[in-house]
Amino acid sequence: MEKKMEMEMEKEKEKEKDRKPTTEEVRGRQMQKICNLMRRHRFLLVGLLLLAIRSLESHVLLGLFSTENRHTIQLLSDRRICPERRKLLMTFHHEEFSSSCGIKYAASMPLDYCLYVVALALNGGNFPRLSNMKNMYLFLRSNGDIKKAWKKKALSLKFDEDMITFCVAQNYTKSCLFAPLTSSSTHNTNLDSIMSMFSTCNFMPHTILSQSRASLKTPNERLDTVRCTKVVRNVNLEKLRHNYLFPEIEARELEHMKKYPDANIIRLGIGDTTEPIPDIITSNMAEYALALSTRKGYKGYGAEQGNKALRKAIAESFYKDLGVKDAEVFVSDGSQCDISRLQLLLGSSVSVAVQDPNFPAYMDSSVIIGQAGDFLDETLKYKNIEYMTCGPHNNFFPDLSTTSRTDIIFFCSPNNPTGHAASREQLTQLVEFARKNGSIIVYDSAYSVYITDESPRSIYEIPGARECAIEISSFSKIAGFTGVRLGWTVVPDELYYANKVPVINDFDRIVCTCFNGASSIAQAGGLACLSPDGFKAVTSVVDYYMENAKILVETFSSLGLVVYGGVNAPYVWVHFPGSRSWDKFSEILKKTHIITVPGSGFGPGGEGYIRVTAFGQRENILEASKRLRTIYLS
Amino acid sequence: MSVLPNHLVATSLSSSTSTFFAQNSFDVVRTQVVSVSLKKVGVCKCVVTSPTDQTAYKTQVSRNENIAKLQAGYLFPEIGRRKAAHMLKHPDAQVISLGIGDTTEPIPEVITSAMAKRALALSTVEGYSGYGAEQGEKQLRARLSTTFYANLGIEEDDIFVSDGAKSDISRLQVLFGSNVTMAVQDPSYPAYVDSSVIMGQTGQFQKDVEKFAKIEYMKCTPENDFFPELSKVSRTDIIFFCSPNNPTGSAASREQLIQLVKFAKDNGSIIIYDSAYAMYVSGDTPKSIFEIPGAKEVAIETASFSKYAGFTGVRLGWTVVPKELKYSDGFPVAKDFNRIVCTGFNGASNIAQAGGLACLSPEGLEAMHEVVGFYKENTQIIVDTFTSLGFKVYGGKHAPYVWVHFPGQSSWDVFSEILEKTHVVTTPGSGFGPAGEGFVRVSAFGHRDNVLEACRRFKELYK
Repeated sequence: MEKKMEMEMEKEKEKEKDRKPTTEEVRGRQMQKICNLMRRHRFLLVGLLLLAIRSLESHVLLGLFSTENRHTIQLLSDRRICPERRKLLMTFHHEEFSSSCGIKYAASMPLDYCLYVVALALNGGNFPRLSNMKNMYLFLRSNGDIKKAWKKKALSLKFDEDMITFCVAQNYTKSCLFAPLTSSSTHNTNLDSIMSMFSTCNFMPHTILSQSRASLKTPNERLDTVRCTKVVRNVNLEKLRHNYLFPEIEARELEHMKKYPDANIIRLGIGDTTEPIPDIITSNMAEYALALSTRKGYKGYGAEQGNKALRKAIAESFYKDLGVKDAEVFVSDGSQCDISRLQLLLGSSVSVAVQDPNFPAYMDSSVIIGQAGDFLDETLKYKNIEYMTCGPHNNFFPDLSTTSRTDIIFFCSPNNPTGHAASREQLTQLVEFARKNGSIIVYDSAYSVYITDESPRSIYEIPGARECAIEISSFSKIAGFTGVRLGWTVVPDELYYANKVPVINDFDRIVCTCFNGASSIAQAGGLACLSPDGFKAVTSVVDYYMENAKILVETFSSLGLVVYGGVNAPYVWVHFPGSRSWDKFSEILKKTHIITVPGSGFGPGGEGYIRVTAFGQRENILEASKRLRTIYLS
Repeated sequence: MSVLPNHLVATSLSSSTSTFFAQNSFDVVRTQVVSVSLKKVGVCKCVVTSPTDQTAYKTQVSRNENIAKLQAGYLFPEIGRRKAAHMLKHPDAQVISLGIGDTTEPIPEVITSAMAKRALALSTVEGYSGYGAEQGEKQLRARLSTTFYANLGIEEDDIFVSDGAKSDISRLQVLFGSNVTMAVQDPSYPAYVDSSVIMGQTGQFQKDVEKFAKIEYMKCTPENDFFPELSKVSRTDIIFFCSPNNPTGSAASREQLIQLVKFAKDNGSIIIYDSAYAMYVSGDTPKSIFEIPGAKEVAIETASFSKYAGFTGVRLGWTVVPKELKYSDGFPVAKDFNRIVCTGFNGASNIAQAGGLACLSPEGLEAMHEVVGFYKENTQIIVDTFTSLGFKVYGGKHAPYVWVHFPGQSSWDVFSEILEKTHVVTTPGSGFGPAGEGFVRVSAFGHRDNVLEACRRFKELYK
């Protein structure tokens, strides 16, 4: 495709030579090309090489970066750039961006065109239609702030939905291209937000920067010493869209803290438990740990599937009368890990459906294993994945009559993020649908202990589910085990592949080959959770969180907002019809110093919502409630 | 360990039972809703009066063909099954297990008390912590880098803490995907090959040669000093290399590893170096691949606390992915691995991590060396025993494994004979690959009295 574009570009040039089009025409055509590119790919960063503007006078290199391409450098040669400078730029490209985004297309562009691109970007995430280009240009020209920033060579842009960050260094110097990207610019280029863009999980926050500095001192040497293996990057990982949700929230929090250093920020964002684990459970774990120092109490490898007593206790506590046997319970180090192992089990040839909005791990793991196609910008969805929209219009249950058949249906109930627990009737429909299609449901019941009404706590409460469903679950939200790590997966004996091989056999093989059992200490803790006293203790923590949820529901309702969830799940899903999630996120943060999660981060179906978690200390929840009641949200 | 009963018989029976239970458990209030759907399911169930294959419900999901390629069971569960069967047959026999390389000695108290302390602190407001970083606690990563990689240029953010090397191997397979080619030592720890098969990197199992198609088996035998003849090895994307080796117990010398790194560099391959037994190494033999110049550009290293501190059940390990390691397009491998870790994993247990940190304290390190020293003494006892019986014995110097040669015999036969006559469980060498045929692996993990008793029985059997 790149080649094709290159050819197109060359053809274009030839034509231009032939009939000498007007400047306006050339600009228009080139702009159109860029816009097409931008629409086809979901660009993270536009027009980065404006950095080089000064030294290249009126001509700059314009780099377009996308997450999806194959990280090749395409610098169209520009005779006006001296060789030395070009080499520098290439190093710069390679080190800075081909490594994180890849370069789709780079062309020599006059300064004005870069401004066009900036204007495009400014239009707000949705790339504007070409017909608006002229207006765009005018808009840009008339924008005083931009002009000012532009003159100062300091420009920074940030977007909510699409995470476009655009920045221009303030004091570009030859010796150090990237260094001036600190907050000295008028538009407060936020280093952290830029970094969060480049590194998915901000695990190597400043290495890229420092690397480039070092390399740019001696660009030639650096170029020569860069060593790559010949191993080709996994195409599935290239497809994977960066999930900026939590890093971006973090970046915004940091920014907010800088702005309001004295503000007491309340975090109701990431769904992390906050309450201590009841004594009865930790003392069991401590005892178990200490016993590992005795000859009698020492145990080495446990069974990969988990300790027998725990498997039995899980079967009895959660699946009493549902026919789940001990041997069908596989203890794990948490649902997220089990989701990945299930993907390994199913392989790359199966088709997958997910709820929209949903917990990102289902989709991401599908993409990684190769079940998904490319990400489409128009729909904000991956190809080959069936998105089952869940909103108030369908009582948060997909319209199955319009849902295509897939091999696998991921279904989370009570749902993260919407907080909705599917009713018995809905789940009966789901099981029927799966059986009719011969699909396998992967049912995530991580929040089942939060159910307060008659909604089923397990998919196996539905007749026929044992023949079509796997259930994954976790101690994380039951007992505050988010850090201790313990979960389980149920694969019933009756679940068969089309060729009649029992799924449990293969899953057992996966667990034995790719896993070595959950930590024995964590398992001792799990067992303690399921003792009568232990269960009572953890239930009181669950009740505590649900009281929090009630307070939050009441608070948002009192503001005249429509609120979902919070009854059967520790998540409150607040509706802001017609608004954008990120806007509401920002508004709430600005007005109340409360961190929430924008619903659109969970999929296109979450646009217009905010997720508020009930995991938090009561005093914080009450304080949050107090602040929220004093403001106006619409 | 052995989990799965015979399904086909149990299945149709239990499926109808479950429906029966489910019906009973229905809420009265909702009967109306439920009965409608129940009728359908019920009808379907009624047909299943005789448990025949034809009527049993099955999904339309195709089985993952890669898993169908796998052979028999995973080696160690298979040995577990044989051991269980033996114990059933000889209920009074005192069975000694020198088979699966499982630690037996208690964890030093300095380590368990740190874990107990961390566990108890989770019940306090100040000591409670929820999700940790997927890559592991900063302090532990820092301590790992200074303890094991001082002066080797491995930094804390190159280190990813995990729940053990086996899990990390499969995450590395997910990282590289199904299009890479791979080489393994033959014999080798079965998880490399099996995870590669599951990932779809291989062809079918070739019964005649007992190898999977599309895997490069690098023969390691006494003839080549347990180091592959690289001039005959084809280029692959990935080279799994375990040293000190499980099962042969041999550790690659510095010179050999220099060759290996050069080979990888020339081919543009990535080495996945498993150093789970590095602490058993003595003398100048490298403990890490990163002791070899240039290795950071071609190698990943996985390691584990399992065999140092008896953490086989506690579960803690780590993987080093240097920033310098890059795909052909220049993209750093560490970035993709980070994504895998964040998506498919949620960090090792915080209690286990507290234990890991204690392991790396001065007292902890001393205690670990003591445990390692103990197992090395065991190793020596086993080596001496077999040598005195006239066997050719390999390994046992830099690793807790003794690789005993039974020329011309089948490993499984030897395994069975030893089990039958001495009630000692070993591991058949052929379970690690075709080149392991004729060998038996004896693990030095055991209480001293058990090791001595086992050796006494060996002497009786082979005198």
